[in-house]
Amino acid sequence: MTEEMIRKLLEQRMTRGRFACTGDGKRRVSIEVDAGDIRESVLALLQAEGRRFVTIAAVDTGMDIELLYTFLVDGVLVTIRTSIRKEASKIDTIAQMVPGAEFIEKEVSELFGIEFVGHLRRTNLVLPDDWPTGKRPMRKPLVGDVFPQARASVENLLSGGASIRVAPSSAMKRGKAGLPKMPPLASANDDHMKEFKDLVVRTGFDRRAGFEWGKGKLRYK
Amino acid sequence: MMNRQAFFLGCVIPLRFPGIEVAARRVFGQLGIQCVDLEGYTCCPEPVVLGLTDREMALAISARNLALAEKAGADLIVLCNGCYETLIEADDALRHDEAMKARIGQLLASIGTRYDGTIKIKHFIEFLHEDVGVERIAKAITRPVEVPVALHYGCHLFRETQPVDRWRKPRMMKDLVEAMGARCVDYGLEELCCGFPISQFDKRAALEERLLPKLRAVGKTNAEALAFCCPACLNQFETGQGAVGDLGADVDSYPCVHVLELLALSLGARPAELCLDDRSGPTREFVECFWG
Repeated sequence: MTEEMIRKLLEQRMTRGRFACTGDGKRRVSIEVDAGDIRESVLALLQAEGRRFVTIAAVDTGMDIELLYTFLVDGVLVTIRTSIRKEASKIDTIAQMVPGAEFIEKEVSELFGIEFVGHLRRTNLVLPDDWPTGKRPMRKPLVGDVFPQARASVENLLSGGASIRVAPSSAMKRGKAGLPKMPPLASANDDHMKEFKDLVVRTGFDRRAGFEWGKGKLRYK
Repeated sequence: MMNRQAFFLGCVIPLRFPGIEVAARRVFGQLGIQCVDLEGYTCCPEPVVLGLTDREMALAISARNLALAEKAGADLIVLCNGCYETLIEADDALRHDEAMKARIGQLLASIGTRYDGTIKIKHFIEFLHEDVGVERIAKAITRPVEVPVALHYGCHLFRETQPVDRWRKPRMMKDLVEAMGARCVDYGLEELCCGFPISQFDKRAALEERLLPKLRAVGKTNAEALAFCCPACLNQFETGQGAVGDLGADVDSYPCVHVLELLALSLGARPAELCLDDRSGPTREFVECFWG
């Protein structure tokens, strides 16, 4: 089974989701899918001959949990990678399709606080039965790259184009000084602000920082 | 063809100290220098916290600001020390770091703009000293300062992109304040930071290890006021003086005035026009006493 064959298999079987497939040209293939497409991608891979499930690994990246579903397909290690936001921390179970995943999903669930939707087992597997529900031993706090002292400034910069908040009191002070209520900042003009936002998005900083444009806030305090 | 001049106002001056913006517009107008606004600018971005957060993001934002000026055919007169450092360092990086220049060029192109490095960026102190001239300013003064003043230059005023005399701009600031009739007094800790950057991380250390030693040193002179060319430093002194008192330190509180405010007053402005009636007690009393 080659990378090309795996790609074709996914293209034939995945009707909804999109995926990105890369390989090292030898014995490893990596497939990236959206979390919502995990069942369909696993189902597609299960059509391959000589495949077997290996494991699911979870990686806490600070803001998200990355899940790596690894299969061995005819001597090639194939990893389906997906990422879920910690705020949601939910993904469909694959345990009905892949019985061997049942206990691993449960282990990831207990250690990282991920809900595998549709998973039937309720009792703990690796943690004591009286373990507190909200305490997940392998889960880090939801935090991104921006260090605490910079978070307010980053929110102000990305939401208003200034390092300090454009507050109503500023407008009042400016009015008292006989100045226009808004200085000629980008935030005074929608086109300028859109241009500024486009630039920041192109740098990828908003994604790395975990900034949500709709809320004008970082995903963490 | 000589470029026009555009103010780079920054964030702190227009949003926290609009009186300094009024002073700048008044001073440059009275000296016959027409300055346009830089429409659509954003934070430079601020060098102490934001500049350290993500270099590519920071440089891209700086480059967009520089591109706005270039597109408007204007050289920049920067009113804030922090903005000055950010913008000259970004301009320098875009001239000399080929890899970064290419990357930032791509980012700018993606939003339909470009920066070719054709503009000049000057701190307002530099512009007033080099382009207007100390003698011309001295001649225009109608209500001189005539008190001993201690100067806090601010760390960023010492920044130069070339290995030249780093006291170049601080000396210019001293010349300008003396041209207003003041006597500048030395206190020996002129180069010590005001503590504002440290205050982002440890407020007590900022007060005890930066502001307090400076205030004690100034207290040994006959200075009657402190003059600044950085709005963040001014804010740190004006608000910090009360806070060091709360820590049990026995130091005098000084009037804190921006050089542009001082110059506007010396050129005939009234304190209320510059919103100086909103400032701390010592500052209010000082400006009312001499220019009220």
